[in-house]
Amino acid sequence: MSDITASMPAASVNGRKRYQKVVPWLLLGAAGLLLPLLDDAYIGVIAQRAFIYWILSAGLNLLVGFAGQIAIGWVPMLTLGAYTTAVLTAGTVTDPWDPYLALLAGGLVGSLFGVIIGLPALRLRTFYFAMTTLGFTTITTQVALAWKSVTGGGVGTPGPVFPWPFDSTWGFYYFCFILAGIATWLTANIAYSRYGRALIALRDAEVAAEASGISKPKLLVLVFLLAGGLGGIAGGLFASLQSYITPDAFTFEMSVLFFIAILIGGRGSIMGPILGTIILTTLPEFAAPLVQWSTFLYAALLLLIVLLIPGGIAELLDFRGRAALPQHREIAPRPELLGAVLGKPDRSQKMSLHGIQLHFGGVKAIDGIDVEIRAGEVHGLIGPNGSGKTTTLNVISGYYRPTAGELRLNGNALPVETTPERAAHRIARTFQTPRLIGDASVLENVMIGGTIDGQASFVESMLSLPRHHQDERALRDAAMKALAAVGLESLADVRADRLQHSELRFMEIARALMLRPAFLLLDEPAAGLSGEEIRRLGALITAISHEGVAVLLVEHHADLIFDICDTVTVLNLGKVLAAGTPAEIRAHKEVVSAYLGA
Amino acid sequence: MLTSAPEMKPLLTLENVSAGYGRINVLEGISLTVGQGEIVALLGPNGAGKSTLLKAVSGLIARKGRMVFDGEDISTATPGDAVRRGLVHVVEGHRVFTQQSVHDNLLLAGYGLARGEIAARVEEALSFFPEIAAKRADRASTLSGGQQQMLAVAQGLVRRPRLLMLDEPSAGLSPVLVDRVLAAAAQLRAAGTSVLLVEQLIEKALAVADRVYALARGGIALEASAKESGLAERLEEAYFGKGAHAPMA
Repeated sequence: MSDITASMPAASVNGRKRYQKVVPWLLLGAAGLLLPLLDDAYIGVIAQRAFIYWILSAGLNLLVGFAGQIAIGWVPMLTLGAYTTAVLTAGTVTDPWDPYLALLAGGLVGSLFGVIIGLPALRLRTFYFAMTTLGFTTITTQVALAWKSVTGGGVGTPGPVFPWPFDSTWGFYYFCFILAGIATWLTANIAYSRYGRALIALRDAEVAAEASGISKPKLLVLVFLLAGGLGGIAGGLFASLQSYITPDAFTFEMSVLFFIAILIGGRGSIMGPILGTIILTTLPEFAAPLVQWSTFLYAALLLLIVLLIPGGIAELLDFRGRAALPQHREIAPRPELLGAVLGKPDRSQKMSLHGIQLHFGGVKAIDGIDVEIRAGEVHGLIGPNGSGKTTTLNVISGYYRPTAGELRLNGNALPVETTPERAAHRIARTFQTPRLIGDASVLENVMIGGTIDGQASFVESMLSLPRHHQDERALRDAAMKALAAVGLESLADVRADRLQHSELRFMEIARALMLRPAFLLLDEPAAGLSGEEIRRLGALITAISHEGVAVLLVEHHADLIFDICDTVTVLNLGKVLAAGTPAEIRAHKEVVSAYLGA
Repeated sequence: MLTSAPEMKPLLTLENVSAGYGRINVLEGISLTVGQGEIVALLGPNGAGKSTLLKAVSGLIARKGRMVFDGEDISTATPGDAVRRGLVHVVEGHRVFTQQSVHDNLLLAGYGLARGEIAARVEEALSFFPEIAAKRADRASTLSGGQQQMLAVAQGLVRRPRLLMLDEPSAGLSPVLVDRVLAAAAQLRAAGTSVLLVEQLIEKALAVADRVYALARGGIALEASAKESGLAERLEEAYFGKGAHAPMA
């Protein structure tokens, strides 16, 4: 433990980092607080609009910037929140509500419809989901136009007036300011929790996220609830700011504005999209004579940003990511630290495949495989290219449902399960091509692996309650230990896409170790490694198995296989060609001719 | 006029080439040559800059210094120029067009060649890898990782390049297939093609290569004939610096 803390950056550096992070927030906060001193009502209105837009965008940012969902049409949340608040306050349908309660109701309606509009995203990908949000935008406007008895149709309906203490112009300003602050705080808490990291993992490395036990539907529904709710609240405020709302106040251009503000802000950032929202809200005011050109301006700005700074404003602000790395680095794993990472795996664990088959149409990718892997052993899985090795791993970790056969854990047949459910059995894995979150740090990438061990609920994390902080500390500690064990702790703070290929292989192992696996599936971990690196990898894998983990190793480096495996299974054309000790396999005639070569 | 040159005619010459990513320099002052019909192995630890060097030669990244290919200056050539001159680069990590069929992948590799010619070349490339020839109508995404790597190498063959640069062709291939890919390289050499080979399987690379360069810490640390005795020890020294012993976990 002591040597791990010793390798952390010195305290003074840490302090300066924190200082650099806090300063922009203090500046923004101070600007917001002091703006009323100008006593310019016009500027006040523009600022209020920016606050309101940001309340919506704060939630949308989690969806677009973090989860990577192309929710272009998010303006319906604003529409729904605005009408709900306005109609309830006006007493068109019921007795007039208290405006503050009506605002809350607007938020709830937003949440509800956020989930409804979000449901397609759980199945549809990228552009198809974008289309459904656009469709929903049109539907909402049409309903608002047609449902005259409630919405007033094209004539519209008056917006709510919030009573004391937020009734004066500057009172309402501070109301919006405070809510914008709360929205920022809530979404930032999520963004920098295991939930936020999981969203980014789903965006950039969905397969690896699932293997770490992250369930996309469960997580996305929570985020849709939050983003919809914030949109609804923003709508209620918007109705009050406009003082009178009609359906044509909620234009498609507005939707595009929210979306573009996040894009030019930069994905995976909070400060960037805030600045993006401020810029896009104020820009048309500075260019008042050009108001017909505003759509054109957005388009031009977007093009410029995409061309000049693809990472958005956030990339401009990212100084850490540009610092030079030491050039000639070595990976020096410390297997003696594995015990602290893995805990005490149950040494009686055993997994067996019985007659597993997997057919794609007429193609038999796997055609009846029996394999047994036991705690404390390294089991090699070799065979010619296309013989079904990776497919076997994919069946075990739940990506494919076998056509026939059984997977048994300690003698009990496992039901058909999703990949995240398989991870809960402590089945961890790495991938043939490393799956990484490029713009997250190495440490954050590794922390993904421990997501399922977090205790705090979504709401606890959102409100920054004590269990959230315990989770963060525990995950960070465990990830540092895992990185130290594989020999990468000096790179913990580096963006993962700056690592060399061989380092990524070890990073994936560290991420898999975070699951405290009973079973570890490694898919060609030595591919692309130098001879010396392969020797170290071999020692690391052996040490992992000695801790009581069952390792299933797919590899092509025959030397490594024969050095470290206790048993070897050879596949050919989806069937077991041979199984036995390394010595038996090495002498097996058919294996030599089909696979090893002379 | 016939001259009996004592040495092999150089096909590719690099003089004092530097390259990197953005402001971060990876390579510094690289000079090397690849002769006509010669296999040159480029070895070195991960991170030494081998892939970066190949990218600099094929024009995928910005570089400084002088590069001559077949008597013409290609210091500022684009990747397209390089390919048209017969300099083909098979990048690492089996990057094929996963949404296209195997056959379309190979047609794309011959982009710009005459139509009748492409068909013949595609067949020729596939003849090296019967495993993927059998799957020519399948989408590349349905191939296993190793089969995708075969496809990537086959793509490199379609143009019958004058210089073929292979970046870790063995990654993800079974031992027999590694032998087959390297045998293909030897066959190309016999037909007069030059090969610049980046490889981690040192012994196999040395077995097929004529000459070897070792890259370490962004510079050339060693140049030797692949048949020299004691080369393995010298390589180790070049990798880790003299007398240095890598700590073994």
